[in-house]
Amino acid sequence: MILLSLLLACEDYDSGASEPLRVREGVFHPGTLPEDPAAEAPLVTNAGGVGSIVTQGQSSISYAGLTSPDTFSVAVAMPVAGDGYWVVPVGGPDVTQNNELIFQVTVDYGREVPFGLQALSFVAIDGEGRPGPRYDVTVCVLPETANNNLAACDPGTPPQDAVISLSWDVDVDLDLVVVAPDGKIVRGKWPTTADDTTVPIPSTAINDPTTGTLSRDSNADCLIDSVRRESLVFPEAPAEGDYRVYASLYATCGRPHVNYLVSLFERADADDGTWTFVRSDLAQGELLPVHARGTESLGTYVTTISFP
Amino acid sequence: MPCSRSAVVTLIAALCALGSPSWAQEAEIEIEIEDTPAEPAAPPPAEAPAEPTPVEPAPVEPAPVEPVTAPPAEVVPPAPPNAPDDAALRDTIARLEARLAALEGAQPEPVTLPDPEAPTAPPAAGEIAAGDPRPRWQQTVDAARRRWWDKLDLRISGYVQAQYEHHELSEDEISPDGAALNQDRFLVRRGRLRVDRFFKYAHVALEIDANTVRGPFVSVRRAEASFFLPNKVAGLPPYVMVTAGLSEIPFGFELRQGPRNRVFAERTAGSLAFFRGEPDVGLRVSGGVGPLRYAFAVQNGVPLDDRPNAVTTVFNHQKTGVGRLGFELRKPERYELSGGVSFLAGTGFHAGQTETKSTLLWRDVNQDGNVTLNELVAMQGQAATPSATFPRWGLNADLQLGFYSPIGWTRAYGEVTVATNLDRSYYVADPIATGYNLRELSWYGALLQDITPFAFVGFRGEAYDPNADLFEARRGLFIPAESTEFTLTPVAGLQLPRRGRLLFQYDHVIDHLGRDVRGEPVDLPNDRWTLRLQVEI
Repeated sequence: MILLSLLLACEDYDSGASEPLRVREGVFHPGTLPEDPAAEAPLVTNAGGVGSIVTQGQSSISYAGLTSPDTFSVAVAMPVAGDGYWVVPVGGPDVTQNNELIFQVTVDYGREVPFGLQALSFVAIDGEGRPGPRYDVTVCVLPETANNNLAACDPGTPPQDAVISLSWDVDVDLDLVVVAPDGKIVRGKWPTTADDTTVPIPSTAINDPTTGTLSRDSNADCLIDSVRRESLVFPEAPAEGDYRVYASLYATCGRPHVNYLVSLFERADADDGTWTFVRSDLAQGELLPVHARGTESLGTYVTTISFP
Repeated sequence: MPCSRSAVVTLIAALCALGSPSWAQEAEIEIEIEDTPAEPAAPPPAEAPAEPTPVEPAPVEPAPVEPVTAPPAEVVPPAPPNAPDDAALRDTIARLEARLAALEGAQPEPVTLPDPEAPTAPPAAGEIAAGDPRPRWQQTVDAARRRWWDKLDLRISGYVQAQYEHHELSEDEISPDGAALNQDRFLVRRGRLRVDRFFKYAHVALEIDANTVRGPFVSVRRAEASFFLPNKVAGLPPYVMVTAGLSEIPFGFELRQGPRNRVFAERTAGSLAFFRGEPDVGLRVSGGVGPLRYAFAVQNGVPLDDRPNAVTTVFNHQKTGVGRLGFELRKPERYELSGGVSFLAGTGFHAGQTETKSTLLWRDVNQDGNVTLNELVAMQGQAATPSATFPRWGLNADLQLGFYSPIGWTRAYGEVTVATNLDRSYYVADPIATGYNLRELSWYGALLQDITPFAFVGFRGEAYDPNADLFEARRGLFIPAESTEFTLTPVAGLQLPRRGRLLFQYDHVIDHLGRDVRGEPVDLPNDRWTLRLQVEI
């Protein structure tokens, strides 16, 4: 029994699969990102990519760069997210860049990566395992709740006034359905609160900042995107009245049940020229396959939100 | 000749042995009775002459006791012989025989899996076989007691291997394809039930496996039918046996040993890579003459894969030829020596691609989450690519040595296999895809020591190189890379002969699958240990 206890107490391997930042080509090493700010070599001389603005939960963001010829590998980490760093061997020389060595990584940003301006750090490591100085690439990480506003990366930019958000835990086709004060049913087929008595709806009505717009139809028809969140976004204060919120289970996609959560995000003025987003969790529940009714009904009533 | 005193002594020894369950079967096998009457219940013949009364009642030497592995029974000095005592003695013998028969009938029938290469055909219902090692009276009693299902002469055997295993690589996570990365768990590794039916010149066997390796799963492990020409020498395999069906692959030693008899929890990495499962479907000819053993087979070349959802489709019409030529020398309770060489020649399959339709692909080049025209890419449909086959082969040599000492059996064995394109489950060989043939090398050596019949320790060292020509690109250079995986496996356990065993095994794996901070290959921490309980029926 003592032997068994000792064996069971052995430290477990960590592949990094649970890390908020994952590098597909890399091997995970727990611990702090190694760096030597005073070292002159090895060096990451350049790193970057088009992924300077990403959203929480976004995958397959490519970055590439060059290192000094004495580099063996590059360590990659986002110091504010995770408990370690990823190591990627460098590739061959770029003959157009003084034979500097090429490296390339593909990064997946988990939902746990904090939104805002973050630094993605690269450190070159030589054949003796010695690190060089850190090379940071600034990345704007947007919250998955409502990503059509860069307020998360610019505190001076006011975020959306209000966001009604439905999120859930497994890959089912669950829809956010909101009945506006004027009786309009907002769902995947009719994704705005704009008055639809005139068809087509005038663009002025759609672009009205008080009009709420549905962010997406997640896992539509069980075409799994794994976002598992739908939001009704009001750039400015919505029309006054009661908004009834429903969770409509369109299809279970083979899952036995789903847990959902309805949240309200509201803009808050910090009175110092900056803005914050305040989150309130309003209701949660569970749905079973018997609740799957397609679009025959509004779904399960969850709560009512009143805007003054 | 009447019952001799040696018969009495041996009977008493057998009765004593029956009191000790763990030794009962040994006693049953070893007991000998001289000139046993055909019907044990029949009274002794009246004309049975008594031994001549000696003039002087000199002490009589006890009858020699035949070698019995049972605890030594106390030898009872015989009483001075005379006619009345003989009658009493006969009564005593009759009572002892009846009691022994009752006790033997209450004992569970020892079930020993017959070696597929050496089937021993039991008598048909109601028959008494000439070569049956059991005493004749016992055969008679057994024949009388047979019920209808006994008359089918089915031999049912099986075992269950339940275990807890711990892997250093375990994580409470899932892989990208959704598989669990946690491997720390209790599981039923194997639950086998086997039915055998022997005829005079034929044999059929069906074996089912139930396990929970990847959830509850039941599959067939053996379904074979054989005709054979029995060997004139008892205990030896038939001269010729032709077997058809799902049967064992005659290659090497470890593959044929069987998970029931193998002390180590699993086969070596190389053996598992070459043959994911032990059986394959085909036709086999095997047998033995004197110490020589042979087995040749033509099979599908798709060993049974016990992993649920594994692809076991036979894609190519070419069959795999496999065989082994070996020898066996053994002297009971003294030594064992066996070995052989094996070969395999077959054909692998590279699956082509089916044609694809044209599609429209969105590539979020600027990663803004919005679709623009320049991000839409037309992907033209691709024509189908043809499938292809490729040759594979393997050569193997194996050697086993065992000798008996006062503390028990010491067994050492090992084998080496060289092969090309034979890996079908670990580092799957596909020379069509890689552009070159993959050369593989596997070897191991093992040592097992019994410590009394009830405990054992052992050690196995193994190596498997799935690609002797592996190259790797590092910093723009192609350099040779090492792919050999070494495993050092100590094992220890307790056992009840022919009843089960409890073992603990630790596998220390040394490979090159990890990466250090320089990006250089290093050993990946993927040791594992197993605690297994095996109980047999």
